Formats: sequence, C-alpha cells, structure tokens
Amino acid sequence: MAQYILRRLLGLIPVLLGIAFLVFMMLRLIPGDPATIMLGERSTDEQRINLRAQLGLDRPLFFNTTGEGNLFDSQYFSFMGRTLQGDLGTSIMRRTSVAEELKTFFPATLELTIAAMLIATTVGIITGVLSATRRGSLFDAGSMTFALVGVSMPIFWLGLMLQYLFAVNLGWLPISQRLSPDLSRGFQGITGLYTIDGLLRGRPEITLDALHHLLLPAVTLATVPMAIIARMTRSAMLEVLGQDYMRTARAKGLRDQVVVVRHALKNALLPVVTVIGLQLGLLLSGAILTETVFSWPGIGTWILNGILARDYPIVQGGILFVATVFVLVNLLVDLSYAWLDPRIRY
Amino acid sequence: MKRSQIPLQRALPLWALLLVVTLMVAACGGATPAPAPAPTEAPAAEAPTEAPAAEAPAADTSSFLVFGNSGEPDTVDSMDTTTGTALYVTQQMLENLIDFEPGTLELAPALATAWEANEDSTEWTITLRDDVTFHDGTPFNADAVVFNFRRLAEEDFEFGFRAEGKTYAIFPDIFGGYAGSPDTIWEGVEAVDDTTVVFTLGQPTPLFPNFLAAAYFGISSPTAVQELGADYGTPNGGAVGTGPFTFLEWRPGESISLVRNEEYWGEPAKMPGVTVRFIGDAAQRLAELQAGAVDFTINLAPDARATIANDANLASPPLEPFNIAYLSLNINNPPFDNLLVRQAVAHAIDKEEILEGLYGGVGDVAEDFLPDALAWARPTELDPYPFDPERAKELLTEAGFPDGFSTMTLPDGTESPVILWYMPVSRPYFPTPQPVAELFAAQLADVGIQVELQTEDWGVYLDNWDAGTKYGLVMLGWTGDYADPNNFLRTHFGPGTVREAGYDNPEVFSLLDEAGTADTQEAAATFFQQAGTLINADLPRVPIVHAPPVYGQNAALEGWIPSPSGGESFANLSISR
Repeated sequence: MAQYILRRLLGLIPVLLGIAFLVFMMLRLIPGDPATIMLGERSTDEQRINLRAQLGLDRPLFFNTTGEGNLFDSQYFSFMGRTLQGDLGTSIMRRTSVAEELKTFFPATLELTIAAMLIATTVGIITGVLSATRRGSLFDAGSMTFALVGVSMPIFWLGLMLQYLFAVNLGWLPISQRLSPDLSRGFQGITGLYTIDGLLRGRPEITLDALHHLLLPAVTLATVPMAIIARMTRSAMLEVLGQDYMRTARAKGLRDQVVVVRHALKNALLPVVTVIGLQLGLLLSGAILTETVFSWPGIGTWILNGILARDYPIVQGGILFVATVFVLVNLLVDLSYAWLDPRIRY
Repeated sequence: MKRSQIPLQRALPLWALLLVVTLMVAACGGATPAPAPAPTEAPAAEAPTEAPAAEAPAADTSSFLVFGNSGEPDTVDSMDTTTGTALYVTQQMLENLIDFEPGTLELAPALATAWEANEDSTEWTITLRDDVTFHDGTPFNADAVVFNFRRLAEEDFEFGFRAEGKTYAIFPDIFGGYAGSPDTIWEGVEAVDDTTVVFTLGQPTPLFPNFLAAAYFGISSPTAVQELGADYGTPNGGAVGTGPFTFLEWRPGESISLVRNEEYWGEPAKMPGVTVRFIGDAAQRLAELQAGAVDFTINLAPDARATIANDANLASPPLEPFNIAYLSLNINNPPFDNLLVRQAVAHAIDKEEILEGLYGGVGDVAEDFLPDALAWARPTELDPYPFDPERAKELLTEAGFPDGFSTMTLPDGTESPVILWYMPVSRPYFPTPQPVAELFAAQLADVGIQVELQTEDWGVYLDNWDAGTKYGLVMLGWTGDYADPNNFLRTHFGPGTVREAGYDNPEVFSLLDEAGTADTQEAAATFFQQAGTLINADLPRVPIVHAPPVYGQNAALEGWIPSPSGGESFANLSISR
C-alpha cells in the first residue's frame, strides 16, 4: 500500500510538470498583452514597453539566445525555478503574493465545494437507492427525469433563477457573498471556512450567517453531480440487487434495510465513489460559474479575473494548484477502493 | 420485494420534511437579519480575549452604505491607476487640491483654497488649507503636495517605488511625458511656504486647474507612502489621505470597507462608513440592488431603466452624459480614404434610431465629439451629417460605387470584406455593442454597403487599434476625465492618433495645440472651433451619441449627485433603513 502511494505520488511529478508547461504556453498563446490590459485605452507605446520590461515580459520565452546572459535566463525557466522552490510569484494586477492570495481565495471554494458535495452525495445516493428499490414506480420515473434535467442544466442559468426566486422575489436567502456585510466587516477567519471560523471565534451567528449564504450557491453547484450520482447509484444498485447473494441475504431473514444498505449499497458504491471523485474535481471548474453568479470570492472568481487581466502568475499558480488538488483527490478515490472492495489490493 | 418498500416509503416523506424544515430555518434566518448586531456585540464584550483586535466596532456597522462597484480596483493609490473602479474608492479617502462642484465640471476649492496663474499661465500658484491633517496624523502642507507630485513626475524619485511595479501611467497621458522627457509640459513644483506651492509648466496651460481636479491627483500622506512602499495602495496597505473616509479593510474578491473620518476638516460623512463591493456583471448589480444587498450602483444595462422605473423601491440619479460613442473609419483602407464614402457612411446611419432602440432614448445624438458640458468649444456653425439614405446613395454614386460595395483594400493591396469591429465589452457609451453593430450593419446595407461584424478579446482589440491594424469600421468611445476639450479632441485627432486609423491633418494638430496653450478660454474656443470645423469636414470618425451611463439607487438613499466624469465623494449620502 505504502509503496503504491509512493509510486502514485512520484507519478504526480511529470503530470504537474506537464500542466505547468501547458498553462505557461496557453497563456502566452492566447492573444492579449497584460501591459496593454493594465494600461487600458489610453497608453502609449513607451509606457507599454516600460511596463513589459518591469514585468519581465520582454525576456525570451524559453531559451535566451540573445548572447547576453545565461541561456536559461527566460520567462519559462525562471517561472519553473521559482515554482519548484514553492514561490508562485506576485500578482501583476495587485502586486500581492500569489500564495497569499491563494490562501485567501481557496477556503471559500473549499467550503462551497464541500457543501455542494455533501448535498450532492446525500441527495444523489438516497434518490438512487430509492429509485432502484422501487424500479418502475412513479418516484423512479420522476426522480430520473429530474436527474436528466439536472445533468443538462446550465448551472449559471440555474443559479440566476434560484437567485431571482429566493433572493430577489421571496427575499428568503441572501443573494450573494459569503457573509452579511455587517458581520464580515473586520472579521478575521482562522481556517478561512467561515462556518467553522464562527464557532472557533465563539461567534455562532457567523456560522449561521455563513450557512445561510452557502445554501443557494451550494445547491446550484450540487445540481449536476447530484444528478449524475443519482443515476449512477441507481444503475449500480439495480445490478447488485439482481445478484444471487441478495436473495440469499433475504432468505436468511435479514430485514430489508439491512439487505439494501449493508449488502447492496456497499457493493454498489464502488462505481459511485469513482464518479464522486471525478465530480469533486469537476466541481472546482463548476465553481467558476457558480462563484461568478454569487459573487463568491473563491478561486474560480480569482482565476477568471486573472485570465481577463492576463495576470499570468495568478492563472499559472491557480491552475497548478487546482490540478494538484484534482490529482490528489483521485489518488484518495483509488485508495478508497481497497476499503470498499476487499478483493482490491495495492 | 414488497415488504422492502414500506420503510423506504416512510422514509421519503421524512426526507422531504427534513428538506422543508431546512429551507424554512434558512428562510427564517433571512427574514430576521436585524438582530444580528446585538449578538455581535455580546460575545465581543463577554470574551474580549477571543475577539481579535482587527474586528470592526460592532455598534453602528449595520448602517454602512453599500456601493455596488463594477469591479475590483487594481490599486487604491489614485496616482497609480487609470481605472474608474479604483477611482470610485480612492475619492472617498484621498482628496484633490481642486474638486468639482457636485454634479458638474465647475471647479471648486478642496485642499486648495485659491489658485492663480501668471500672465501666460505657465506658473500656477496654489494656496492650501492650513487646518488639515492626514488620517495618520501627518500634517497636510506644501511639502506633502510637492512630495506627491514629485512621486508622480520624477522617474528617479526615491519614494516612487517604480522598481517594485508602480507606473503612474496617467501622468505622461496628461502632461505629455515624465519630468525631463522632451514632450512633457511639466517643469516642476516647489513649496514657497507652508501653504503655498507653485507649479511650473513648459508652455501656457490655462486649463491646469482642471487637470488638478482629475480624480488621479488625490493627495496621499507622504509618511504612509514612504513607510508602506510598494504595499501602498494594495490590499495589504490601503491608502491614507485627508478625505471623509479612512481605509478599514480590503477583502480581495469581495469588498473594500471604509469608516468615517471623525477628525475630518470639513462636514463629516453622514454615514458611519461605506462598503464598496466588487460586482463585475451588470445584471448581477441590478439583481443585488433589487434584493436590497447594495444601496447604489453604476453602469447598468440600458434596459435596467425600465426595471428601475417600475420598482417603487428604486430610483435613478440625474446624470449628464460626458462621453462620446463613435465609429472610426480607417483611412488606410480604400474606399474609406475617399471623403465621399465617409460622408455616405455618416448619412447612412440613423443615430436617432440607435438612441431610441438601444439606449432607451436617454442621451443625445452626437453631431460633434464634444459633449454638452464642453459646448463652448464646439464649432458655432457645424454642417452636420443628418440621416439621409438618399444622399448617402448619391455620394456613393459620385464616389464610383453606384451599387455600393462590400470589400475594402488592405494596406498590402489585398481585398477583404468590409469589417465592422464591435467591442466585446460594455461601456457606458456603448452599453450593448453587438446590437448597435447589428443596427449599423442593417443601416449601411440599406444604402448598399455590406459589412461583416467581428469582435475579439478586448485586450487584443485595443492592441490592434493602437497598432493601426484594425481595418475597416471600428466602434469605440471615450469618457472624459476633466473639462478640457482637448481631453476629447487631442485624444482622438491629435498627432498621437495618426497610427490608429490614418487621420493626419497637421492643421488640426496645430490648432489643438494653440487652443491648449491659449491664454484665455475665449481665445481657446476660437481655435477649438476651427479645429472642430476641419474635423467635421474630414470626418475620420463619425460621432454617434453622448449617452449617460445608467445608475441605480435605493429610493431611500439621499444625496447622491453623480459626477459626469465618473466618481464623487460619498460623504453626503445617507440612507435610512
């Protein structure tokens, strides 16, 4: 097991190097120059040249073949060098350290993703199990239709609709952000997860307010994975329920709940967990849309603004980070197989 | 199988009940936000050790104003930005020497009490207030002013922190170059005594006080600038000025909060503070306004006017347009080198239809680049190009295109379809660029000019525009910074613009220069009018509309008089909740 983990972790290195290279290239291949964007409609050539020099954007991309200085004195190698030392650079836009910004923005996304995942898995699995055990019923047909709609729903549209219904028209839920301005002003978190920070700081009203703000974006973000998980759970359950050992279990006189939950569900979970793992990664990308709609200050918003401003260090650092999280989550998913299915050994 | 369904069937309503209860709890929480301040106070009082020092005073924070800004500032160092989203924030903390009367472009004293020029307007003596201190306790005086302007102008100034990334890009824009550059009109600034500074300029600059009123020239505390270094203006440093609000915190991606300056030298702000939220999307800003999450906001889509008018809780503040939306014709691409063709384009466009259809009828059809506030510099007898498709067809026939045309010639000699470029972003002058472009295309097609619509990434759009590689027809616009006709005319028809779309008329350049250096406004007006007449005759760019941006506010908000140049102090605003 330990050897397997080590091998997988080592495998991360080429993956991340590849991603770093791709991000670096992609940013420089898309048209648009950070200096022009920063200086706006009214800049002169001289200003742009100066700013590009200041930002180091006038240096060669890969190899310095000008004859002056080191061959590796280039944008790519200095980026890689810094990154390998754990330095993600400084934002072009705000001139703050990218690592520091990541610390500010990531907890917001993490909180949203966890909440969305909780909703998606609970509702998704329960719906899937119910549909499978009551195959062909009205509930089954209804929930699977909903699931189909959910999978195909553009989530920014869903977010806007939920916002209009619950925040603008009914006024039940806050329209955006993570906390009410009165509470957030001056509030310093510890973990950055406000639901937890409220308790840690002894201010339960912050936790309640944070949950209250979390509900709409989390439901929005949860919709697609919830639908996928429900469909996957249903089909996996149907397969398991048809197995001989199900009949055996019932023949032994076990109660139905025990049969369904302990015998069928656990065995049906394997493909579901794979889907959950993949969805967790996808949630990070879905978060970009959801965060934009709900003015949620997470890495989605952060990277998007970085892209619009051609803030290379933010986009590079942000995407590298997201990629690392994605790969690690997948590793965890693979490890959980061993627990779910004792036949699997690493 | 049947037995198995019963417990699950029971579980289902239970589950539904749980969901409903959760929603209701959530909903109840939303309905009672009012008691929130009380519990905030309580734990802080009971467990002071747990509450960090940085926490805001809980007492009156609920009555902070909330402003929906159209984006996150790049910095709150006013001298180091050119973006309106930043200047909205800086103007609450940093004050200028000279300001505008609310809602106008008339000059008003601020940190300066008086200003006076020598005979030829090359030396400006500014008298300062003697009763002002910065938020950090540093006294405001002539030395502070000199420090601020040297920081901007001198590239080797010790506390400019240029090596750390500060650019002060606006300075060469307004003064022609940094100190010492061959094109600059800047010569220097000197403290005569504690309350007097003298600015020296290389050529007569009668409009210099108007420059000083531009939002960029907010005065910062020299102590803070030195101590914070490159952090000044960033989320870590904030800004320190003399204004009615002081910096509290900048939560990246969310908001900036400012609290009332209780030591303010003038009338203190009416509200205890203001939170400036960053909401990039116009539809989102409107939704937040409707939901009551923001008290006032800017730059909404034109169709928001109807929503606001139909909602008793919302209102629109009065606003005069101080901008120009135009269509540039690239003279380097035949047939647009032909004046008759350019005139035909102008006659083909029905500006009234555009204004009615896509701006909700609010604004003015533009016959000249100058908005009403600068009407004194417009030609007195302008020969405009009214909507007249028949005339357009005649002109095209005269130009040798009796059936119109659908191609243009690129500088390398190749033929290309006629491109009409529309902006990928919304600006107050073109809030909905694509529909406007579609209307242009339809109107041009009516006289036989077939265009293809294209757009591209905004940064690239501007890059190509500056490089002169945007061929055909290009939609662009401009919002003025201060009340100087050259801020509109020289910016679009001066020598610096030749490359953009090929317009090169030395006579216009010299008239604009003479206007800029004329001793009196009357003399300047004559030159501007002559230049305007030539520009109108040459027609390198077709003015379309002057359109005020759409702003929205809660009906309970009082005292908001938006400035035509974008951005004003929020000190006089108040709202009762």
